[in-house]
This record gives sequence, structure tokens and C-alpha cells, in this order.
Amino acid sequence: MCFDISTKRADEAVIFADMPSYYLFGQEITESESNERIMLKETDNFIHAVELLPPRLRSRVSDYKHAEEIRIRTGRKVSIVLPDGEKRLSENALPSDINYILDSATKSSMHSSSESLKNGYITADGGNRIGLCGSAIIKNGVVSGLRNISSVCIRIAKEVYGISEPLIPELTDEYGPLSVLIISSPGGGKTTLLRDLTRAVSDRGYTVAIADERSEIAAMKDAYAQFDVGSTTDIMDSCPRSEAIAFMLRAMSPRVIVMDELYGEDDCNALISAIGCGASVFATAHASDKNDLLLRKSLVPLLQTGIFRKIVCIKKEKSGRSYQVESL
Amino acid sequence: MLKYIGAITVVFCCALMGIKAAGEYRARTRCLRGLIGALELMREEISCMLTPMPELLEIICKQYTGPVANLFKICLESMSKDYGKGFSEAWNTALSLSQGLHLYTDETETLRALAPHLGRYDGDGQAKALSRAACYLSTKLDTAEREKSSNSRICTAIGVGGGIMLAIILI
Repeated sequence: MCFDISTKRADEAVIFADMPSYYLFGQEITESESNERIMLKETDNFIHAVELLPPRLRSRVSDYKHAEEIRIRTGRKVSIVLPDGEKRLSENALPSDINYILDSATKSSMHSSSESLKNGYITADGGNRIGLCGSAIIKNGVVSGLRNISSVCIRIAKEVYGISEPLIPELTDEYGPLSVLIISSPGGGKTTLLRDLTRAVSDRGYTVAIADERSEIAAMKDAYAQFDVGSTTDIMDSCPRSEAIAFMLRAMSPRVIVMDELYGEDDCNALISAIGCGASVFATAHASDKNDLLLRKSLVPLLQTGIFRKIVCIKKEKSGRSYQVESL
Repeated sequence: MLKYIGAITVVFCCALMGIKAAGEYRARTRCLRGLIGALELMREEISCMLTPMPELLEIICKQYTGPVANLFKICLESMSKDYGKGFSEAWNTALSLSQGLHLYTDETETLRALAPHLGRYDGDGQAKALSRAACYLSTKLDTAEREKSSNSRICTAIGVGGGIMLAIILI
């Protein structure tokens, strides 16, 4: 079954073609309430992202409120990724700009983010993720950090309420939520859908546990989730996923385990170990479609276990995003 | 009568000056000890807990008092949203603005040399830089302790004795 959902990017309103309803904490809300909520959250995250920039760039970037990403490469023009393409500003980025961003994002505490730095990203306030490229520092044959950082990509986190509601009937059966894998190419909106699906299931009373290794799903700050991930959700933040899953299965008795971006064998092994524990899994992976997914060798053993019952494939088109649900 | 009141005032003032000079030695050792403790605390927090700098500065401000706490407070304020400085710049600002630390130039420079290390990259590198600075200040503290035990009594004695002599001469 295929649901077409068009996303009116300019106004940041979400319109469901099949089901014109909006939900907040499991209760139906009006379209204007939904839009207001989305606008507020996105504006907050955009402001957080702009605050990371050096003062000389802030005023230039602040005009592009619908930006999805801000990309800064040393010696190159600062560019902003908008829903309808990339816009280049006249300013060239300097190494000092990148240092300023890193200082702002980590509050001058790079050591606190050293684990995520090894993986090439930092999560800033509001759940905005900062991707980094530079020279890798290798110790004992393993990447232990980055230096001479030359590129920064600030991805502005989005929270869209109700986006998963039309999909819920397809992703649940009489016993509750099924295990679901959300796939799309990078920037397709996997985490946004995963977050809303988590919230929707949680608000229906199912206990959900999020293994939020990169603080992207819930964006925890001072023990509070900055994104609404539901009223019955427990979050294990900044913890390696394999350990987080084991902790949560032992301690929190989740009905659904949520994790973002399955990548390597470790992630797959962690999920395989959770099979048969009675919990469903919501996860995401990079793949443009089901065939593409099967080409990812590290994920094949996981898929062969039959853990996932449904795949949601997100297609990004000019008119918006479409969500296709397939059985596995 | 006035003569005696004047003489007592002279003795009192001179003694006060001597005690104040002795107090400088005491304050210097107190500050050095406080700074070494704060640097050690920073090292432990960074290497064991990976505590972010703003939280770390807050912890130190709560645990210490006087000029040492003031140094870290100025640094924390400089890093706050209103001023928006990175740690490196904020630390240099704090060292320039803070008063009453009784540090010599080389000691201030040792602290200033921490600026490019702290808050940057790995915790190990920062811990080493903090250990080096704490070690240098420890040797300075030993010297300051020796100076305090020998000179502070001399200063007090010179103050009181000088005051008495001056009073006798004036009378």
C-alpha cells in the first residue's frame, strides 16, 4: 500500500492526501495547531544552528529560515541547502569560522564529544547534527579523532507532527507495533519519520525505548528530551547501541526498541541479540529502495533473520515526500 | 597626651603595614594552593568524567573562594551567551582581569599557556597540559612556602619594631 504525503515546504505545513488529521500526544489537533507547533520547533532549531556560526556569517544565513543544511568548507563559499536546491553566499569560509563553530557546538569542550568526533559528527543543541571532515588521527590503526577540520555540515533537525499517522494501520497488527525498517537516501527524512512514529506508538500506550547513540532522535539536554518522542518513552542517550539495547531490555521492558541508522555489523549484531525478546524494532538505514538495501552486505544477515516485518521507503520528490510501505 | 596618642598611632600603622606585607606571603601561598587544587580538579574531571568546560568552571567556582573562584567566574561569564567567547579567549580575558592572585609573570604565563590546550580535542592532551601547569605551580608553591615562613615573621617584626623606633624618635 502506498501513501502519498505532500509536504508544503515553504510554509512548513504538512498535508496528508488520504487522511487530513493531525495528532499531538495521541489526540487529534487542528491543522493550525499542528502548523504552529511545527513552525515553533523548526524556528528554534534554525536559531540554534545560526547561533553556532561566527557573527560575520549569522546575519547572512539568518534570512534562509527554511534551510535544511548549512555547509561550510574552508576557502569555499558558504552554502545553504534549501528544499529547492543549494544557495551559495558571497562569503568564503575561513579556518577560524570552523573553529568558532566547533567551540560553539561543544561549548569549548571537544573532549566531551570525543567519541562522536571519532565518527565524524557532533550533536549540538536542539538535536542539530554537525558533520565534520578533516584529517583523521590514527592511533593503533583506529581513528581516534579529527584534526585540521576543513568541512562542516550543520543539519537542522526537524520535527513534523502526525507524519506517521497514515502509516500506523499498516505498521501495526492486532498485537501491536510490527518491526519496521525505514529507508531512504541521505537527507530523505528517515529520522523525522522515525521520531514521529516513535511518538505516535508511545502515545498509544506502548512502552518504547530509544537507543539514541547520537542524540538525534530525542536530543536529550539536562535529562529532558528536546523533541517530543511520546509519553511512554525511555531514552538511553549517547550510549553505544549494542550496550543500550542490552541495558534497556534488562531494565526497562520495552515493547518497542528504536534506533537510528543501522550501519555496520555491530549495529546488526546488537539487533540480532534482541530477536526473540518480545520487543519490536523501529530502525532506519540508508538505501534508496528495497533492492538497494539488499546490496548492503552488512545488513543482509540482519534482514535474513526476518526481524523486520515492514519496510517504509521514503522518496523525496519536488512536490514533497512519498512513503511506501512494503512487507518483507 | 597628644604625643602618646600620636606615638601609639605610628606604632599601630607601622605594625599594620608589616602584618599586611606578611599577609601578602600568606595570600600568595593560599592562591597558589587553590590554583593547583583547581587545576587538579580540572584534570580529573576532564580525563575521568569528560565534563564540559562550562560545567567544570561552575564546579570550581562552587568549591573555591576568593581570587581563585573569581578567576574561574570571570572565565565562565566570558564564555556565556552574552559574551560568546571560546574558552581560549575567555581564559586569557580572565587572567587579565582577575585581581588578587599574587602571581608572578612566569606563573601567569604558565596559566596562559593552557588556553590553546583546554577545551580542544582529546582529554589526554588536556590532562597532560594541566598536570604540567600544576607541577610548575607546585614548585613555585614550595618556594612561596619557604618565603612565607622566613619573611612573614620578619615583615611583622620590622613593622612593629620600626613603628616603635619611629615613635621613640618622634617623642
